[in-house]
Amino acid sequence: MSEGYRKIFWGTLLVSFLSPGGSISLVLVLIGWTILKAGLGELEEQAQAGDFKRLGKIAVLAAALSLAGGLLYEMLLMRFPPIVFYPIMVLAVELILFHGMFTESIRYFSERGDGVTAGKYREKDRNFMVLVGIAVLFLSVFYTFNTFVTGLIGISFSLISKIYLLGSIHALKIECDQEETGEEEQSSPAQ
Amino acid sequence: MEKNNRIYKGILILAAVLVLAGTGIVYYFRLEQPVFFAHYYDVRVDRESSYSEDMILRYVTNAYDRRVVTAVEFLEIPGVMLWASEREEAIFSWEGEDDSIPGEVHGRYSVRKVYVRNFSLPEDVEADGKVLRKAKVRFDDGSEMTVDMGELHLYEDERRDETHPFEHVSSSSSSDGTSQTVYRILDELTVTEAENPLAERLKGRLDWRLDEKEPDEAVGSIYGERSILSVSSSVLPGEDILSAYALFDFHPVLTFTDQEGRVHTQRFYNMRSQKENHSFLGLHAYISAREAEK
Repeated sequence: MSEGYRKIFWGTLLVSFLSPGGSISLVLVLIGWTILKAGLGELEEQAQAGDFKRLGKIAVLAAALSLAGGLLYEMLLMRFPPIVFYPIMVLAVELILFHGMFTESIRYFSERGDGVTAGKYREKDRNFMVLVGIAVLFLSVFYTFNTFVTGLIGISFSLISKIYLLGSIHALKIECDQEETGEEEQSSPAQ
Repeated sequence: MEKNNRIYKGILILAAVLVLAGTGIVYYFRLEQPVFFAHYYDVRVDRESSYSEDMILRYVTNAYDRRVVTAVEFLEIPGVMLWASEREEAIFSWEGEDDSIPGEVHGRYSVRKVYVRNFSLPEDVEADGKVLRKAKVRFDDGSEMTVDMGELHLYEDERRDETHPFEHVSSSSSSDGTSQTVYRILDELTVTEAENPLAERLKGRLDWRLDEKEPDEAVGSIYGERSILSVSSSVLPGEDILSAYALFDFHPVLTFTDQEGRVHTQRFYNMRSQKENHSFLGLHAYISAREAEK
C-alpha cells in the first residue's frame, strides 16, 4: 500500500504544479499522470478493502481533460471563450479523484477496524474539499471578470489545497508504512 | 462520511453553476467586432519633415483578443495605407520581441492603443481642411473592418510672416487636465475670430478661455503692445458616457488684426483628453450607447 501512495504522491506533485502548455512541461505532466495511475493500480492490487478500481478511470479522465485543455487553450481562446473555465473543470475532476482516494482509504482503515485513522483522514478529506471549494469560487469569478484580487486568492487557495493534499498523501504513505512494518514484525517471530 | 459527501456534492454543484453562469456572462458581454472610441483630433500634417509624430487611436475589444492592428487607411484619402502598431516603438532590439497581448484588461474587455506611425501624406494629397471620419483598419490575421473614427481635422502649418507679433512666454500642462499658454503681444492687436470646427463637439469636455473669457466673448478684445495673452484650458468629465470616453486633441486658432489691418493667426496646443480610468461597466455602457446610436 505504501508504495502505491508513494507513487500517487510523486504523480500528484508533477501534475499539480506544472501546466501542460510547453513541450517539456507536457512530457512531465504526462509522466506525472502515468505515475499517479500506476499508484492507484498498486492500491487496487494490494488493498484488501476499498474499491480503488474506478479511481484509475477517473485519473485517465482527469489526465485527458488537463492535457487537452492545456494544449487547446491558446488555440480556442477566441473561438470558444468558455475554454477559460477549463482549469475549474480540471479542479472538479481532481476533486472527484482525490475525494475518491480519501473515501476508499477511509473505508480501507474502517474495515481493518482502525477507526481513529479513518476519522483522521475523513477530516483531511473535508479540509481538502473546503480548500478546493474556495479556490473554485474565487477562480470562477476571476475567469469570468478578470479581477486580479479574486485571481490571486483563487490561485493561493488552489496551491494551498495541493500542498495540503500532498501532505495528506505523504501521511497516508507513512501510515501504511508503519502498518506494513508492524505486519512484518508480527509475521517474523512466527517464522 | 455523510457530511463529507454533502460537502463534495455541494462543491461539484457550485463548480457547475459557476462555470455555466460564467459561460453565459462571457457570451453576453462578448463583442462581435472591436469598437473604436470617438476621436476628435486636430491633426497637423507635416510636409517638410521626413519624420512625423505617431497618431494614437484607441479601441475596445474582447479581453485577450490576440489580433493587433497593423495598418489604417482613411476612406477620405483612399490609397494611402498608414502603418500602425499596438506597441510603442522599441528603443532596444529585445523590446520588439514582446509577444504578450497588448492592452488594459477591464473585466471582459480590453482597451487597446494603436500608434499610427509617421502620419505623413503624399504631396499630391490635399490635406488642409480635410476631415477624416471613417477608416479601414487592417489586423495582423488579415481581417479588415471599417470603423467610425470620430472627426480628425487635418491642417497644414501656416507660414509665419516676418512681422509675427507674438512672443512665446511659457506653456504648461498638468495631469489634472489643465493647461496654460502665455504669449506677449508685440503690437496692438484685436481678436477677430476664435473659431474651431471641433469646438462644438467638445462642449462639456473642454473649457478653454482667453484671459478668463469664453472664446466668443473674447472676440473684439484689444491687446495693447507688450500686453500678455493667456490661453488656459481644463478638461471636463463629460455629460454622458459617450462624451466622457471621447478622445480629443484640440489645437484652436485665434485670428488677430493689427492696426494696419493685417491678419495674424496663432495656434494653441496642450488641450487634450487625459488618460481615462476605464471600468468594465463603464465600457459596457459605452458600447451599449454606441450600438444605440446606430
